[in-house]
Amino acid sequence: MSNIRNVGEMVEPNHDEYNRQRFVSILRKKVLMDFAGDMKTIYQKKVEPNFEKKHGRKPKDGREVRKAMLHEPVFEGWSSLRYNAQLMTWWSVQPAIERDLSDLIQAAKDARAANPAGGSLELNPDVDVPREITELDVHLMPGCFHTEYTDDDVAQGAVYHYGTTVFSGGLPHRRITKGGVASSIANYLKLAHPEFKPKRILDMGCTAGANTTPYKEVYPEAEVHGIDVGAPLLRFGHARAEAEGAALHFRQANATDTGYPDNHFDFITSSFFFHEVSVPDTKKIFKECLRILKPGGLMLHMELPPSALTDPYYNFYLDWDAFYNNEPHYEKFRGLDFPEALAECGFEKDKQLMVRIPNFASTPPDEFKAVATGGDTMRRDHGNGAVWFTFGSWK
Amino acid sequence: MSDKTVNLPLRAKGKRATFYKDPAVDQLFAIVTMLTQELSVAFDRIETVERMLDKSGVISRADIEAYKPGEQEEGERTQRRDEYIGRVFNILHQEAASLRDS
Repeated sequence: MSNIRNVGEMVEPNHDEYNRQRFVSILRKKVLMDFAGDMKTIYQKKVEPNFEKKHGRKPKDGREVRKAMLHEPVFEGWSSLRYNAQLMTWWSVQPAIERDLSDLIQAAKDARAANPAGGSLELNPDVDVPREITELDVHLMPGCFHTEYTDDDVAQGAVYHYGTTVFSGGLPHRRITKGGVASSIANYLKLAHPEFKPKRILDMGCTAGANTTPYKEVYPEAEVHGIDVGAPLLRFGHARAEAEGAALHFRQANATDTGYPDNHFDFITSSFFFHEVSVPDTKKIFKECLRILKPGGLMLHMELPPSALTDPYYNFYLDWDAFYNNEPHYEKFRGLDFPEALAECGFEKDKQLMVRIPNFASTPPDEFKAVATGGDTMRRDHGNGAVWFTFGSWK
Repeated sequence: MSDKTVNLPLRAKGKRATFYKDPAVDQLFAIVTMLTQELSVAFDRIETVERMLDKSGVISRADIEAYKPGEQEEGERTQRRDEYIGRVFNILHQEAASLRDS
């Protein structure tokens, strides 16, 4: 550990700001767990039976469920609450970040100058930032991933880092630690494929690095890289990692064209990334992964499950974000035939895998181990993150 | 340099979602949600004050819980609550008031 200040722990909200954050966390928990249960009950007891009476069958997909639900008061109210809670998440952290911004920037510069853990930060102001990010604030986060308000800015990194803590702060399985996706994947790989010892790892769309760090913890010998288009996130992620003693290599790059040499990585991953990317770019990225992955290497991405694997109501429920959370590609991505899309991009079907990995920190070790060594998990609650859907391929 | 004051934007780029036929209902919903948050924060502050007073031995939380206003004080509180409800729900009263005035 070093004596540079940790940007990830520096921001101190005042009494009321802290309690606004707590309120939002708990409001989100109520919305996503309690009220979502109420909405499903109303669907099952009323909306679906009415649909069946009218059409002589159940809704065939998420779109039909959505049409039937759209003007139900419970959907209108639930959606309004969820939408407002989403905005309030970011608002709840902004004032303290505004107040502490020059300190945060200084701490990030100090981390970069001292670089005690030995990671790196490589920025490229000419990086191609996709239109869906410059034109829409993804997740309704004002300023999105890329906006810079001043020199060496880390504001959006801080908004994302502290905001996501509020975002999942009320959910029981997420309270334990940041980086739940990566710690689950890394620990799964260690158990499921003990012979697989990646020397070079890449996390695509790494944002502020919360889901990059766990790979360094589980594979301390590995060189761990993260790329993203957002400079403020990368500056923040690098500074936090250095303060926490994790040597991570952050680079500003677009995943469609990473600039890495052929056959460079043993393991390529991402978390909650592809659903923000258009389908054409998704395919470009698969091809880029194939190019930069070593033969014998593994690509395994965490995502929301494809709609083919989940029922119409759940598809309606998950696809809410596509309509209301500024994530326009979400529904199309989930609609892809994953094995076909991977095959189209050069990944052989018999080397592909799709695995549901239970959340490591909140799953009893025996259950986690059983899943890693060949069992299936009965957990299906992707929306709330009790289990992570992963897909990919060996090369 | 980084010492200039930065005001982070509150608006998220992109069309604001509406869920009701009348967008005014969406606005109202946003206002009510924010108010609910502020009320929760006000409760938190009162609780902080109560706990600090309790810890420092000035007033115990048990005394606060057991507190009963006298008759005159209850009257004053009733008056305050009445006026408060009138202010908050003034909109419901307005049409009738304007008809009465005309």
